[in-house]
Amino acid sequence: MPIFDDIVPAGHLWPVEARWPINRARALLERFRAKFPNLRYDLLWETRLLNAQAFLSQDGRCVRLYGGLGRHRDIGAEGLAFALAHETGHHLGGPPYHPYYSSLSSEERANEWAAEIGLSIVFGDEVGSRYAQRGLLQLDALSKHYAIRSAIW
Amino acid sequence: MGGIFNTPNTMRLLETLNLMFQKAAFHASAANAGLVNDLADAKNVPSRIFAERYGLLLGNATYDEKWMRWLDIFDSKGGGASRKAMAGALTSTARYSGIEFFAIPAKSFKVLKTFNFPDQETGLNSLIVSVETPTFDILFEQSKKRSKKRAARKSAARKK
Repeated sequence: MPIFDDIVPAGHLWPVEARWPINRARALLERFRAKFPNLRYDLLWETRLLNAQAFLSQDGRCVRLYGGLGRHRDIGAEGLAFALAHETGHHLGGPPYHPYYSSLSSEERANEWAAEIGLSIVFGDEVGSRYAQRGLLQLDALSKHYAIRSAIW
Repeated sequence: MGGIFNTPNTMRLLETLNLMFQKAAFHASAANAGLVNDLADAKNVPSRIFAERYGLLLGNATYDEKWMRWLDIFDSKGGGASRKAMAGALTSTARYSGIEFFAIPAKSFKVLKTFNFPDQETGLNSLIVSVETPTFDILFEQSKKRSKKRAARKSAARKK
């Protein structure tokens, strides 16, 4: 549960008030919303939590991007796009399901869906495939840097 | 959950909760009348006692203390209703096949109303228990703002 997740040092992030990182995040969320209107996408920008999350609420299936990831100085649009596609994949990827959540696809399936289907739907085949490769590398580098067990393999 | 990054303690806590409430263990937990009664009885069995009694711990003093404090807040914010719903699901195994927990980082602590979600594998329902939880940095910032306001009020009062 995220209560135990690590908070990134403030110096590793763009400030909350910086305009371009939030504009970038909002633009990405808008692209995902346009393609997957049945899912709810939002931001919790103030936190330094390095994460994104798929969850269920009474509003339905939701994806939330946290400030520690969205504002991180070492993440590019590709990494954020991959994270959002991965979370979307938890909702839309189908079987195999997560060992703890029958309502979500497994981590592996979410990654597969992001790389093979989700990013292409949002950005087209060429850009989607580039984002899949670069995004994965960016997220992998972050997880190694903070020694966090990443859903990405 | 479904976070893109998962720390080892997050994973261990999830494993612990799932060992008790997810599909594989659901029927065994449902058959444990003591557990079901204790779960329903939030008034007399606070969540921290329930967690200790049924081994819902991480085995690491620092993190278990955080977990206990989190459970105390859960109780104070109306978690009893969620516990009752969980006990209800455990006594309706013809309708439910599991309970799923979502801790959702947010600006403030809020126990959300439980709801049913169709389990795609069993055709039954999963009970969804969701809790919005502020992260430590947000709590810290909020407490800093409160202290500043208090100090400003004190200073204004002194001036008067």
